[in-house]
Amino acid sequence: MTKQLNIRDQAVWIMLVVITLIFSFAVENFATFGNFITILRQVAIIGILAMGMSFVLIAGGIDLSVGSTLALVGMVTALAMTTYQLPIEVAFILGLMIGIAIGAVNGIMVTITNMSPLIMTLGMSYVARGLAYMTNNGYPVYELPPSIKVIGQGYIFDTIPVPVVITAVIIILGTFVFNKTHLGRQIYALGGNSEAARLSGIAINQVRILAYMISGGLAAVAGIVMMSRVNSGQPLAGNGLEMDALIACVVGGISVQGGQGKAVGVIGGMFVMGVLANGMAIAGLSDYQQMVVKGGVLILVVAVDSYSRTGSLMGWLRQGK
Amino acid sequence: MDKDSVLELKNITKSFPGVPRALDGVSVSFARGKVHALMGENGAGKSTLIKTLSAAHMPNSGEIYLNGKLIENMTPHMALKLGIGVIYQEFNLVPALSVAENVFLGDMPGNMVTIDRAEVERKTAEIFKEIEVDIDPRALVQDLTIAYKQLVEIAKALSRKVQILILDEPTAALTASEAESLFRIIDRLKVRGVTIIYVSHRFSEIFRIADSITVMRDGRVVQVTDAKDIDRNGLIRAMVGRDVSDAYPRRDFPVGDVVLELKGVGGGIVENVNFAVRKGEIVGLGGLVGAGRTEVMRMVFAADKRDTGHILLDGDEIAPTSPKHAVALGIGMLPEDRKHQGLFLELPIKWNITMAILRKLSVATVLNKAKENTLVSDLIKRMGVKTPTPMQLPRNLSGGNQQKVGVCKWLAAGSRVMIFDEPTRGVDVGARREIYTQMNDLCRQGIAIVMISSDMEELLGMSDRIVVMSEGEQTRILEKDEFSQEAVLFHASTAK
Repeated sequence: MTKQLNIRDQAVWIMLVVITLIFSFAVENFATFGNFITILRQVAIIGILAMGMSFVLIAGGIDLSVGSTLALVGMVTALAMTTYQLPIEVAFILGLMIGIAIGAVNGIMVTITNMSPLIMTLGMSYVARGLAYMTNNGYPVYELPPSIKVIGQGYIFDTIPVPVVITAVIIILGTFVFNKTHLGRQIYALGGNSEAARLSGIAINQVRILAYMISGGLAAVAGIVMMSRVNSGQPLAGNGLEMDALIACVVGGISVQGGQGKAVGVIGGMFVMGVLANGMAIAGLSDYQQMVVKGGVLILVVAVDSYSRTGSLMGWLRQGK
Repeated sequence: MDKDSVLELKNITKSFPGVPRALDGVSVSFARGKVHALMGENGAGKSTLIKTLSAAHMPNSGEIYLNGKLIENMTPHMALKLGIGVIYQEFNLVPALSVAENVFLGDMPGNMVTIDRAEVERKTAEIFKEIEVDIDPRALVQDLTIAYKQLVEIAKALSRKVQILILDEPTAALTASEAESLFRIIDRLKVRGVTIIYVSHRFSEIFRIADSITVMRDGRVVQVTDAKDIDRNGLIRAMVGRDVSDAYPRRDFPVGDVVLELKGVGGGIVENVNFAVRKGEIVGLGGLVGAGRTEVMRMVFAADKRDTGHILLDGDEIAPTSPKHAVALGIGMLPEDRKHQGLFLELPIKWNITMAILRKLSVATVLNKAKENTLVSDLIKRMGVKTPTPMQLPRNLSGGNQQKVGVCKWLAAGSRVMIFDEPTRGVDVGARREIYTQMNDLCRQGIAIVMISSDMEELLGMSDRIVVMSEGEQTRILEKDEFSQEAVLFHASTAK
């Protein structure tokens, strides 16, 4: 079966190739195997968050609470293992449950009250961040069991970092859900046209809530990986990562309008973000300069997409209508 | 040219993709200070004509003269400045602003920076006084009833020194007494020399207010007459114009037992609807726009809440709680608004077709794609959907092909009762015939069909029985030997 070539889905790969080439030629020490692994490790957490975010975005929503959820889960899991001396597995499951519960609250509130998901999850990001501070009076949690270090800092075959493997597994699973299961199809349907989805007999409320739960659950996974990587629970962890995840999704061709984009695009978006950050850092750009570039990339990508869809500036010239 | 004529159209044509002759050489003139009724069936070209007058559409050819002067390349802004105002069924008001601010929106008195609020309110009050209406200019529009909102729209037009006021079905949402006060205001506007172009399906009000009646059909003006020279039957004949042709393939097989039965169904504007549909039968739902036909069927499909009555499927009472439940019971619905409720324009045709049967297609949540592909290509072939690939997006299809995709979805779902809401709206003639053939095919397979249609020919040509509704109530069930356009229109305009 011939598939239509969709510029929107391909753009991210072209972009990735172009910036990789630019950095390879312009920046010394960029195009090395070691640096490639570094980039992988840097993008791993954003990749997990972005995969979760893509469920919500394609379902026609947005989840700005994932960065704070990551911190709260890290704190609770760390405390469970230290202060409360729970077994590691139990602590991890507890962390996961908290992430999923936060997603469920987001989804249920948006569904019942019909409020803007932007506001709901923004509010939730404050709530979760506040709770993360409250769990240990604002202090980080140290002295975690040494065995968890492997999740954040270990390597497989001495080369591939474990977080990268976790991210890869999650992306494969996510892609599987989108491409092969009826839930994936229903999420596209919900984001594409929620009324048509309802009238096709799809239980749109359940599907929407489930999408938020997946996002929350993956934020929890990211939180556990992050906690293991820094070997502590940090209440400030993941600050602003929801934006990085969102940018990765949008750059990867997932529309904030819902119903559009491919899960594999998340991989591309995640690498574009990673290559940019890494290349700029090696080139000696400051964090501040990097922020300007990241924001610029987001605006550029969305601007090109919106412009190519309306086709011309005429809509603007004709004053609205 | 006529001396009294304020607005004259000469040979206006307008075509759209899929509708080659929306306006087909329309020439008509409107006299100053008169009420011109514009009548015609749905799709006759009334809306296109109005939109051409207000410059929402650019005609392909033809000339528009205002006060004897040729107007070229009219823009919506120009139309307003020239004194052509349109009041659509959906108002263009800002709910959170006051009445006065709405009246002068875009044209506020004051200097560059500040608005002279007192002046705005004084001027608004003046306009209301002139048309003898009592509305507080400081009230918020969101607190007004529909009738008052409409008056705010009229005041808005008057504030712009309107010469020609076009009203599109203005009484559709008004009560009888509200409508009567609107008519009195129209009388007053006439005295002031304002020309009114009045679009309506309601005969009684046309005869109450119109001086002249213009009837359109198939994009042409077929009759212009003084209101006093024509009666209701004459108007109906002019609107319909021709006999029901053989465009409708015959069905010659016996109908079976009752499949779906409605007993006293009510909710919202709908009250006490009773009818039954048998296996292999098409029951038409006729009536004016807003008569409650769509609302009844949406309740059957559980898309909207039902308050009263019983729904029986094969003689057993069912109480679907959600469209999902209704689909599981074997009911399918093709909604009236294909683009917003029926299709996923940005998702592949294939996905659209299997959307209602995702669960059936999957084993342990994993979709069986081979099965899906076979099913989809069979259905595409069977319905004759013209597309290069099942992965094509529906938004690239013609209206007729889009509708076929919608039919495919419910064929795939194996629905036993199918609700077609305006099945051929925006569908070209060729594809219509294919959809009719498909509907007959469904009947032959024993599916019971309810068809809501505002297309008179289609309603008479396709239905086995016609349930006529008016203002939320069922006024009559017409059997085949009673079918006539006059009968449908008569019962559709019967007031409570």
